[in-house]
Amino acid sequence: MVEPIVTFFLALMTLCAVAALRSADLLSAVVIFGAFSFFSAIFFTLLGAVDVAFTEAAVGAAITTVFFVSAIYRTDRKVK
Amino acid sequence: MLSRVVHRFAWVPLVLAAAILFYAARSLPEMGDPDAPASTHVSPRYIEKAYEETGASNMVTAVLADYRGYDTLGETVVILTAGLACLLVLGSFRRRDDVTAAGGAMAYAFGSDILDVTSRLLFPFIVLFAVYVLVHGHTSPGGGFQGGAICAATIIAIRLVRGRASGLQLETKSTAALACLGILIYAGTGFVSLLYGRSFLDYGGLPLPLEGGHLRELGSLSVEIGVFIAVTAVLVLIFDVLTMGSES
Repeated sequence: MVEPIVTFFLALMTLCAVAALRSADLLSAVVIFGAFSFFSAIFFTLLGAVDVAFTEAAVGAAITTVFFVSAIYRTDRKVK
Repeated sequence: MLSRVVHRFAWVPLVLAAAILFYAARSLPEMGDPDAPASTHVSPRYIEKAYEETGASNMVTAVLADYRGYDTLGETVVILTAGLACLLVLGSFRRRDDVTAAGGAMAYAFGSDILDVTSRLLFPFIVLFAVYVLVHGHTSPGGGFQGGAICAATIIAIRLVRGRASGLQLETKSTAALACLGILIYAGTGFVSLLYGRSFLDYGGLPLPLEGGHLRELGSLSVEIGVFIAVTAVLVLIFDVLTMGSES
């Protein structure tokens, strides 16, 4: 029993994942990855796992994005 | 040369892994199948006994903090190890000046009056929510991990807005010590019940004048506080070592 809206957000997550992989600019890949986390947070909320959802929103969308951005500032923005 | 070969044939292990996973997934029980072993043996026990045995009406917390306390202790130690590994690896190459300059630009680029005022208004409430998520984890969705993640996100945001010295003003060393303190609280709760003749992490053995469910609820709250401190400290620690040397 898969509701259409759940499928919609799963499709958005897939889209974001592919876009993040294909992006040559690492900074934009990180931002797209943040969007991926945001959509998966909504996805978890729809499935009824609220605690997982706000952990995903805090860790996935906020903290890992900050970590990745600071890692990019320490290294290089372009894919070698 | 080697890297080109790796690039060209990277899809081979990926396809192999996907094939194995899809093959294995076929023999898993259907999602939500009421006849699966997990639904016939494990779940009913938790659903019927969790509140009575652990005093937690939120069964996720009952399982995480009580029934599977060992697992959660292991997970928290994994998080601590990740933080310490970041400290060991990244803490050693902070002397390069070009890196320092770039990191400095990052750590200070976000300070503005708008951000400052907004953060002053907003962050107390987010921290309050994090603590609520921690202590209310027994009756509503939440717990130590979730609250710790929210609290760490807030502290990191404060440091992004006002520079990395602000936000509790913890040194990297004391953040690492705080992470260890979280584990100590967790394992210490286990050892107390061990001292009083019960199994490790069996909260029924804690020396408090409470009965059954209430006692276990307090025990799991204690380990959740440990998890909260450890998760918050480790995430802030990783942020600190990533931006280390950017303090001008």
